[in-house]
Amino acid sequence: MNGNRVDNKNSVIEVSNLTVGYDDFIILENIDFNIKRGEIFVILGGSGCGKSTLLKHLIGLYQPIQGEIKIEGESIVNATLAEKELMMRNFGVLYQSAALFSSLTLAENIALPLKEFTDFPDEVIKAVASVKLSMVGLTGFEDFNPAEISGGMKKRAGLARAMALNPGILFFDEPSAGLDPISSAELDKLILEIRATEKTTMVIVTHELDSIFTIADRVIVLDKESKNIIDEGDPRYLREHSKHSWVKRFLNRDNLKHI
Amino acid sequence: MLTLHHHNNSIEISRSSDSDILLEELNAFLKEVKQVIIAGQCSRVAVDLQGITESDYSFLTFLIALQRVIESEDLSLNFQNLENEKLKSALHNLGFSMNGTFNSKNFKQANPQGFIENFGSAVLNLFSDFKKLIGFIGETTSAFFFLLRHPRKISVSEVLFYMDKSGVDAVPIVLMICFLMGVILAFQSISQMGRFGLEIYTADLVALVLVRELGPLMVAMICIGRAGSAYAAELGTMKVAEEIDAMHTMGIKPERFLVLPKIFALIIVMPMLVIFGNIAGIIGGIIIGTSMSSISMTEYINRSLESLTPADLLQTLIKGFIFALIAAAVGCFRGFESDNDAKGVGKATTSSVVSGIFLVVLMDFFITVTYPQLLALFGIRY
Repeated sequence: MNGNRVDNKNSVIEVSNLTVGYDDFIILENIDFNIKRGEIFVILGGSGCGKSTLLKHLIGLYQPIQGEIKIEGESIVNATLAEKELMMRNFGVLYQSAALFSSLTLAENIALPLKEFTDFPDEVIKAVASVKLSMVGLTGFEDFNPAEISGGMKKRAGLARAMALNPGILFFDEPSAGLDPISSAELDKLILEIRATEKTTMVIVTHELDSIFTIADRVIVLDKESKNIIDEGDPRYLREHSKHSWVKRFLNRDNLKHI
Repeated sequence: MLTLHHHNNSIEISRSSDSDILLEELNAFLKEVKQVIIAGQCSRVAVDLQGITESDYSFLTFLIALQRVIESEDLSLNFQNLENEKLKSALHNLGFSMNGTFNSKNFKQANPQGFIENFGSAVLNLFSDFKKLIGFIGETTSAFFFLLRHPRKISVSEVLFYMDKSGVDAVPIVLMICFLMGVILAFQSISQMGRFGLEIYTADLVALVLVRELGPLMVAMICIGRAGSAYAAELGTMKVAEEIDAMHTMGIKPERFLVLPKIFALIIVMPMLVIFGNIAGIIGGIIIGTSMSSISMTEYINRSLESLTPADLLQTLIKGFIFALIAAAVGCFRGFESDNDAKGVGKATTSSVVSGIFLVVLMDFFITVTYPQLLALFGIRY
């Protein structure tokens, strides 16, 4: 769509001509977009428009029907399993349910990728785990099991684990889902802090409006009907000036009046 | 409130106030309509829709209920004052036509499939299962060779944890069941062999049957039911909670972290459980054999030990090892293939038990048939 507008050299993720779906059922067709280094990029859209599916394609969990996804200039679509694994090490993913390993403590959850991909001695790994936990405000919770902490804390612990290997790109699948407004705002603040200190590129799927206006640099809006991106840009600009009435209504939260 | 006017063979129904219709009210009203119709004094039912809007859900409910009552009398509704366009479309969406007939919208029903369709989809499922199984075996084998090259990456604490859960915790039930198997076997064989005065062979029979067949088989059943199903449920739940996806995106092989520790644990503990089970069964046999016949305990034990050869012990261990591999791998495989919901986890657990038992019995057949031939290759008589 607006792929050419973005400077490709500065893009971390380039998506071109991408069609995704399950078997014969196409969810998104021929979409193009780029994500720039260091930006907070939000994928937006109504329920069932394929936001989470698109995210799972970006992180290489699903294989697209056609099209290309390049991460740091390398195709994740045509990558061999081993290459894909190497690329995934540059990702951190925060899942909707946080997806902490329930049989491990929080510190062990964070230590797992470190043990796997580094040669650090145990003491160092433990120290890194503690530091990551304190970054997300969970100092002292090292030995807790995921079942013993609240939903908001789980999300933050999940974020700490996603950041364990200092990834270049962080992906978030509905980070605010199931959180109260205060926890959700705290998570937003954390996301901004991490971007400020680590310069991480962030790709976020959400439909929490407060979140979007607080954190997003750029959004794309997906549409179920046309199976494509219907708008793209700064959400604060789109709220006033989007050419699509649906996007305006969505961003102004007055969708009910028009049904 | 609803009001009913009845005159000249026709019923006219209208709503007299804006309030919603209560269910009790609706019921009583329908009874009243029915009585009038049954009395044969009615050929036309008219409903006044003046002031009704598309969001008067209780009135729409009433209309459908009324239609159901009168259609059995071959009557249809007569809408009056139907001018509201939105109400018209709401009625249409519910299945009413504008002349008052009603075709209820059918809910989508699961189409019962014919035999050929069922058979076809079963065959296709079998093929796709098989394909996935090959993938699973490949991934697990490659993870195994990775661990051979990097032995420090084996999570010993995980292996010990599952050895405890699947092995130590299973000891009482294994002892109990195998003991009873020995008792039952001895009891049956004494009553039969006693007729020919061959009670002494009870010792041979119990020992051989237990060590060669029933011991490993019973322990395998217990381990499939306890450990295999637990593995399937655990991995299935992890899949639902996106934990397996998380592992993939962290570049960590779930086969290495989740499958191999369970397989290692079970193939270590299950042969031990089989030995315990065999001993418990033979003790059961001794108790019955010596108390129900004139055989002395020394005689019975001697006979048992004489009947067993090292080849039998090897067979029991081989079976224990292979059945453990099947129980653990099938449990893990089914867990990975689970659908992403609660029902899927239940299904995965069930099918881990069913296919586990099937494969174990099938494998038992192959081992039992080929084992003597294998021994013969090494010149050992069996």
